[in-house]
Amino acid sequence: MMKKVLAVLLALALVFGLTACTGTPAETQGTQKEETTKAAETQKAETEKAETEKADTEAAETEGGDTEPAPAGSDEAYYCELILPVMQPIPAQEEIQKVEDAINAHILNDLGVTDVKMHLTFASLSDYQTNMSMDLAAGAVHDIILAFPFNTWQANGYMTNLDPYLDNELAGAMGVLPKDWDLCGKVDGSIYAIPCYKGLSLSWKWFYDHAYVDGVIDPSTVTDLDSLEDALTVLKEKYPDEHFIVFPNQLVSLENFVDHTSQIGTYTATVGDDTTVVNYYATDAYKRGVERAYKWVQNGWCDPEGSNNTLGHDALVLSGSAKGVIMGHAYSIETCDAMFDDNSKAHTENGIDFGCVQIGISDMATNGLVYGVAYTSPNPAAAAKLLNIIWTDEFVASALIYGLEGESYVWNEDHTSIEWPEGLNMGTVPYSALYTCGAFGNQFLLYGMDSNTSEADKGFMKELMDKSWYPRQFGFTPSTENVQTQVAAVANIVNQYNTTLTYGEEDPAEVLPEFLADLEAAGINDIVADYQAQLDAWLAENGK
Amino acid sequence: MAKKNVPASSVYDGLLAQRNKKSAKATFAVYLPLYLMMLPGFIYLICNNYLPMFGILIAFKNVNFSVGVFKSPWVGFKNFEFLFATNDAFLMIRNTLLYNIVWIAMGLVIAVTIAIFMAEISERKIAKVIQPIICFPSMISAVILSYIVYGFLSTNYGFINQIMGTKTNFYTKAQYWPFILTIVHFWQSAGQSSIIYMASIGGIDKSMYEAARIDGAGKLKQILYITLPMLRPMIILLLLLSIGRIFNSDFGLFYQVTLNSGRLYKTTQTIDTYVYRALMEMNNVGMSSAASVFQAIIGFVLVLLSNLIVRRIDPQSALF
Repeated sequence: MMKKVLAVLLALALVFGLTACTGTPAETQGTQKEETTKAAETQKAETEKAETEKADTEAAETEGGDTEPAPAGSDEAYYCELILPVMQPIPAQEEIQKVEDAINAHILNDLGVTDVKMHLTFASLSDYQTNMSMDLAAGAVHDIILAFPFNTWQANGYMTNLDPYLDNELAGAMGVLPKDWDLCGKVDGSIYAIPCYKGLSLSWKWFYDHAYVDGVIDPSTVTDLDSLEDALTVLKEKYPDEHFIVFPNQLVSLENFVDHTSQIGTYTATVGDDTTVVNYYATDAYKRGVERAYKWVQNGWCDPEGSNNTLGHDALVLSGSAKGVIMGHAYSIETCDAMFDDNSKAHTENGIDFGCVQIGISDMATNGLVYGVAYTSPNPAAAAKLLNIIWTDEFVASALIYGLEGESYVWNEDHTSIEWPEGLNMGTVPYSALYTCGAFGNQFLLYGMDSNTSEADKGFMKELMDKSWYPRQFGFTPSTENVQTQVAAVANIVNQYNTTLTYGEEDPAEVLPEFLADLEAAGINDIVADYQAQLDAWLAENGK
Repeated sequence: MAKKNVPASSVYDGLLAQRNKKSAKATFAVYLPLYLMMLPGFIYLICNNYLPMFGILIAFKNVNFSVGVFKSPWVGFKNFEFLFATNDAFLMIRNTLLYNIVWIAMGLVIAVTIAIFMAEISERKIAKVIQPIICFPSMISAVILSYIVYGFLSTNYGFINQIMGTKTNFYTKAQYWPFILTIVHFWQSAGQSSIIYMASIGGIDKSMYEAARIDGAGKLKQILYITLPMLRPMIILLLLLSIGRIFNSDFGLFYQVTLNSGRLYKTTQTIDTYVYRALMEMNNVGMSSAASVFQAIIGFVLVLLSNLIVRRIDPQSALF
């Protein structure tokens, strides 16, 4: 009998043990959210008390109006989740919590918004697309998300139609955007996402280590790729074992700007003002780019196995492994110079003294960094309202990127620019999302920082965009809906050839014809035809 | 056995008669603790293995999550097209099958050989050192493994290029990779896969070996006529399980260890890596489900066929 009793008890323990492991993603997330909220509210209980009193007064004042805002600190204030995808290490949870608390206090006390609070979470941009896509497919609850890639996520039904909120909740954010930028988040006449307002045009520069370059060449003579080749020839003779370019894979982009080859999606493009869609890999710009990349590797100017290297351009040059690099930024030469000097201190003991010269300006292209509200959001109106705050409020925008004053930044003496606190840098401050500053929100609202988005740079960025060439299809993103099979096949072919070609590891004279033949066999012409039809319709719809 | 040798009345007869009298309810009560003990496993099986079969529905839909799976339109077999509509479809299916066939065959020989060797030295202290060593590689993640392999194959600083004094970029030469992947696969998995055979050998009655020795059988004959025949049911079981997964591949090995190098696809592209790459591009769960359904159905059919063959040859070793 005792054996039976024990067996029953053991079995029940196993059953209850198993049920303890269950729970839907939404429930789990809701619980986590609730716990975070409770923890946050416990931490700032005293502050809340004062806030509540103030809000109660405000709420009393609004009584009798058409809408009655929820009292502050009450359960009716919706904690709206913001997922901030970043390109650098994620700050500690307690630091994120501090920023979240400060932003919520500002939203309540300074903006008088009582029905929305921010629940700030971070995600790594490197695996954001995969993780978030799976999350949304599983029905997990999210609010504000980066839609990446936008057209696919919209087609999958991941994004909420924001049209009902454009005139009220999102009016401020829409007003911030320049002409036609709203098209970047528009599908079939409806807005599904808001593009981040940033310096979209890039100034491409060659960065070099002064210690190696000074006295060997005159960097001011380097103004384009051809003059850069002359400089690299001289430097290679002087320093045969050093690389003054990390990898050559950006050369195709730089060649695109020469004849305004503008990519549509990944595999097709238009050239100049002509809106005829063509196979991108068959364009002159692509051919020139991969030929030049191959030449640079053959001449020993770049790392010969870039496609296998797991370290990025910036890590290799900032650590001193390479003595030069090509990179594109929206910032001026002065800011980039200071930025590289500053960032190298996080990689090397004494830092490296960098210089840079401009070698090209990018064309304008559809802004793919767009933020919207997930279809699973329980309160899309509140999420739209918070989006609006982020796009229009200087404090919120800056706190999300820089963190808190006195901890992660301090103002300079005349209060015109912020800087790192004494003895700290980007790698050691408690909170920073600085690498994301141009990929989120409204970059022009951020506090100026001399080695990053300086006040002068805001003007520089706008000027750069004014100077840049705009394709007629700016704002257009094609849908893969009708050609999914061909896109899968073409993606597979592109993966096979594109990387080694753009990194200059294979001779384009031999490989490019084979690549183009395989693309045709995979159905790229079907994609070209479908995108052409979509583009023609889009141009007609938008009066372009 | 002759019927006359069976006692007219045995102790079992009473029990059998008693059991027949019991109602189904009483039987259930007797077995209730066992049913309860089975319940967690049963629930797990339902949740983990059967509920996800709902995904089969998605394979035939153009899913739009804002309206839900059920309201999304049916698209027939359109989601399956991308698996077959390209020139590379043949390559990826060929690669998946060939790697699996070769590895199943070689894996069987290697694992059984290791198990026999280990059984022979199991009494010695050295066995306690060797066993963890041969099993250790299976604990290494594919990402770390990819760096170990890169350490050997890097163009600039790789061990092989340094020793040979060459600058071969192995990550653009597809012809080397069937050999590289086979070596890496067995280096990583051989030790672990031999454990089950080691356990089976450990379960063989030692008196059989003693009897064989007395009859003058040497080591080789003991292995041929005792160990291998006794291992046969386990070999067939593991073989059938492997055949069921013949359209699947070790994603980490084929994706991470090759550093996702496009120029190696001709010999390293498998169904899993193709599907992953295609879906990273499109985020289409319908196509993803279609690929899984294809792999599962083909695997299921192959298991049935293999079992049928086994049943014809050796009915006792068949699974069902």
